[in-house]
Amino acid sequence: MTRRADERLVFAKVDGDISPADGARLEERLRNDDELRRRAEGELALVCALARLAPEEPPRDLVAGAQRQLRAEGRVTGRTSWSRLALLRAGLGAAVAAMVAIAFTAAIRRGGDADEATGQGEPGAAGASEFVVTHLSGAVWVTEGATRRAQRLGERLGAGARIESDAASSVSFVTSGAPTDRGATSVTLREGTSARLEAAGPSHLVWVLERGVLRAEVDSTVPLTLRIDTTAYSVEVSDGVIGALSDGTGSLSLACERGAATLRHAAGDLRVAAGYEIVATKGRLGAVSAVRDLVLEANATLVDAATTGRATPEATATRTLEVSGQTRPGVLLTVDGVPLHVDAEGRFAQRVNLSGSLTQIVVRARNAYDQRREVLVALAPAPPVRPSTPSTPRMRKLKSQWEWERSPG
Amino acid sequence: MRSRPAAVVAADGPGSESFERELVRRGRTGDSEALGELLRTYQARVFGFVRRYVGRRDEAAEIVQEAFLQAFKSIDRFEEGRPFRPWLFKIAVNVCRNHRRLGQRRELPQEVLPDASALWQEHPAVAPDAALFTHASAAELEGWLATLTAEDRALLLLRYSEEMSYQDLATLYSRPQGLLKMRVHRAIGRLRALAMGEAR
Repeated sequence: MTRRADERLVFAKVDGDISPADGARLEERLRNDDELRRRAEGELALVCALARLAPEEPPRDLVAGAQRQLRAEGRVTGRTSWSRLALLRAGLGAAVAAMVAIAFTAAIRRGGDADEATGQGEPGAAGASEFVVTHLSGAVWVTEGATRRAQRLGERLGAGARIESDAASSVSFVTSGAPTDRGATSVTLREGTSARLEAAGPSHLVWVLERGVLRAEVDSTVPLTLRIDTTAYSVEVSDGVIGALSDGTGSLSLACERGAATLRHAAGDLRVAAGYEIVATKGRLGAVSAVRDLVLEANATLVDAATTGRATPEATATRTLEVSGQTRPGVLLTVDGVPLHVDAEGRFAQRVNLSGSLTQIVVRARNAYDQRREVLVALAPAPPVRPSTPSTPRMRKLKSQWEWERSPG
Repeated sequence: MRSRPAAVVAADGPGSESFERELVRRGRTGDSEALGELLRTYQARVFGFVRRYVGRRDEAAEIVQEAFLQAFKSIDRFEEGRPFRPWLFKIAVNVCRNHRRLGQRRELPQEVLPDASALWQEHPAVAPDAALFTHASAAELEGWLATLTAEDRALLLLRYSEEMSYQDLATLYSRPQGLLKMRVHRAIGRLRALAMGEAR
């Protein structure tokens, strides 16, 4: 294989677009070519560093600036120049329209109240919020009334719909509807955790269920109630922007950006104000603390490495790593996609099995504010892998000796 | 802390598609508040990209405001059903290019350019790539980026920092995906060479 072909394979790997066959071929080349391995690790590290570059808050509201400029240009070009008579006509028209709208809204409200009082409100009927399914993967069911069926992408769900998914599935949906809408829905997670939402007014709601993890985010300009009920606690949020993260195993992190939130618990209620977060693990409440930058320090030690399969390009090296470090409680932590358990103090120490031969791993953390942090952790050089099982002990010994001599360490 | 986090953030991008579509639809009918709301969700991302493209915050603010103004003015030409993000970034890239063409570009501040060779000296005993890149801070990376050509810089930022697909990049640049992939490949090679001091 030529150098240029090797470099193309490395780029395909770094760019995240490599076929399994090419991936196996590259792994084989990386085992035997130190320079190529350094190149791959260097480019991977650069790409990770590029991905970590954060968005930046501008010095002022640039959208408002553009809108002001737009209005100013409109005045200059005369597109919105109004005569005094036109303004008077417009004012009168607006007043009449407002009176009609008030009367119409009052009529709708009277109808809505009657529905609520008699309990006859139908899901999806006028006056109820609709939830539009925007992402769907795996097996997700929806129950409306007595009907239970598989959920479909783009489907509109009415108030009271119940959504269920298993651990390997995910679903997210957003609300749509007019400002007078009122609706409710509920979500069931695998461990019996349930979440219920009641919203009034023009709010945007995003619920994301990812492989047994619930992330709920709410932004509302009017009072609303969000309930996340687990076996250990329930959360109520009113009039604010929150991010809530639950790992489905009893851990919950709740961050409040605006308004206020209350965590209801058998031992009492905890109230959290904007800029603060609550972390609870296995039913035990953590302290309320100010939301700070996401801390992540990680170390990784290679415990064992071995090659599975035969000495073919498809053979993959599996490694056991001891990954440990410190982050914040309530953080979702993964190493190359494998989840790690974080204790109530934010510590983690776990053995994970990974495939591949690169000597760096990426540890990723995410909190309820959706703050993300990644660190690239360098491993000590791995001991040489055994590409095949030689037929005799003598051959095995020779093979092992040959590989030790060739290994960079 | 994010200024406006949850509302429109979905699992697979800065905005859920249906929500964006709704705001674009309203924007096309003349509802500038709806379009403004959508632009605000992208404000920090676009500003970060442009700041790294031109190197200065004040100039970047000027450019982004101009790009947003262009977006307001040309939203009626936006094809409904197409992704909004590449369209918006295309406007931003074009405004950046115009600024450069009109000679309004100022030199990138020298203080953001680190001495990569000095970094190398700090870790003489280990493999240069791993040492250099593992310890690279955001400022160092931005320094290396600043020495690339503007087009290389934009491509790398859009591909890896903004995580745009080649399909989106093809929409943005009106170029075939294969060609863009090749350019990204070359740009990442140049960035690596710069970081290792090979280009000095």
